[in-house]
Amino acid sequence: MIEEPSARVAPESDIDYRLLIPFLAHVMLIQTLILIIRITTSYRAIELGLPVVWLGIIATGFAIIPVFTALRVGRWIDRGNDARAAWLGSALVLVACIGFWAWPDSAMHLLGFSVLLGFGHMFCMAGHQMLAVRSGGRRSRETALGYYMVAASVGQGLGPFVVGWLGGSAALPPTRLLFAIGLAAAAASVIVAVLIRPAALKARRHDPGEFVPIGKLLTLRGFAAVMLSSVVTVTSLDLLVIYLPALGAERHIGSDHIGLLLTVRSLASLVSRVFYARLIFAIGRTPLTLTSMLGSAAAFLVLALPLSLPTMYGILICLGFAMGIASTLTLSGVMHLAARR
Amino acid sequence: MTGNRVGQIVFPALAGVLAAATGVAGILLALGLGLAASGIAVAMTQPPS
Repeated sequence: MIEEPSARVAPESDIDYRLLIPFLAHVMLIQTLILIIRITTSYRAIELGLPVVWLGIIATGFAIIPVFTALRVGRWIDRGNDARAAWLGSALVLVACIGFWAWPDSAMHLLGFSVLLGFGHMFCMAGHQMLAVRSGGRRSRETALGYYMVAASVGQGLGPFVVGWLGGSAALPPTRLLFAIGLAAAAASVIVAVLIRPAALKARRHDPGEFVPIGKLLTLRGFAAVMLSSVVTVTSLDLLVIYLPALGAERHIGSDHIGLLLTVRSLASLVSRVFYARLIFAIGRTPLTLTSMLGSAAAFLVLALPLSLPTMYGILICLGFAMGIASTLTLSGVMHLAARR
Repeated sequence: MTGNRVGQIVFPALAGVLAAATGVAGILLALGLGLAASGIAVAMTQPPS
């Protein structure tokens, strides 16, 4: 039987702080700049007068290369290339940010640089997950993963906050300045990435028994539904970031409030993860998954109504809390079921 | 990660089409319905622990 992790007396820490500190700084920088660039891209598309369908096309571009390469990249990183993935990802993100800053002139430019940004982001994300595991060692792995989640949440809150802060009450924020800030953060991320030292390369062959084909996993009872719900949850958060600026433009909401709404959402998700372990023990995995997903669904449905701004803040707090639980549960649910196999 | 990226291609593309027809509110409605449906699907298919 697979048991849920429990909060017992913490064992002596074996965290590698020389790895953890630059790693967490890198996570925060990458998450911050990705949010800045993606929100600013939506505003730039509105500024260029592009039809709203382009927001969807540009968002699709962000994920197009990773779909075909993520599995291979994941296996390459498994062979001890986590730091190299962070280096390469940072370099690709920097090139994309140079493009956004220098040539944000048309739909095709925004699409092309989004494709590059998404490719770099994939290397960073996959590398970060392995670095979180490596920096924690055997005894402190959960602690390191916790630090990683917090750093990612802080970055996801900081990015929209910067957009809102610089945008003020204007309907459209200063996109050129925001792209420049994204570029500066990308340059900083390259410098920080160099401080992340690589692990010794693993020459060992993998036992074929270690790999479970995806087709086999999908036949596990409940796996396909959890996998799909994880995808829907992650994508919903993604679409909220992309389309909330468009909603703001439709409802004449200043970019400062759009930025703050997304920041509040991210903070609520961060807070929800503090209660995650207690809730899962109190309610149980499946009822909590259902409750948090129905709560997220209700928040999205209400958000579609023409609401006052204070009500929108309230809804975004509820949405952030429910989605924070739902996204963690569905992701861990995939691992939970795969581990049973 | 591959699954999530597939979702990040399919759903934004559909959302773009939906937004063109209904405005952003249509996307929010669709996301709400999608989350509710997938939450119910998880609850109905989980093996007993």
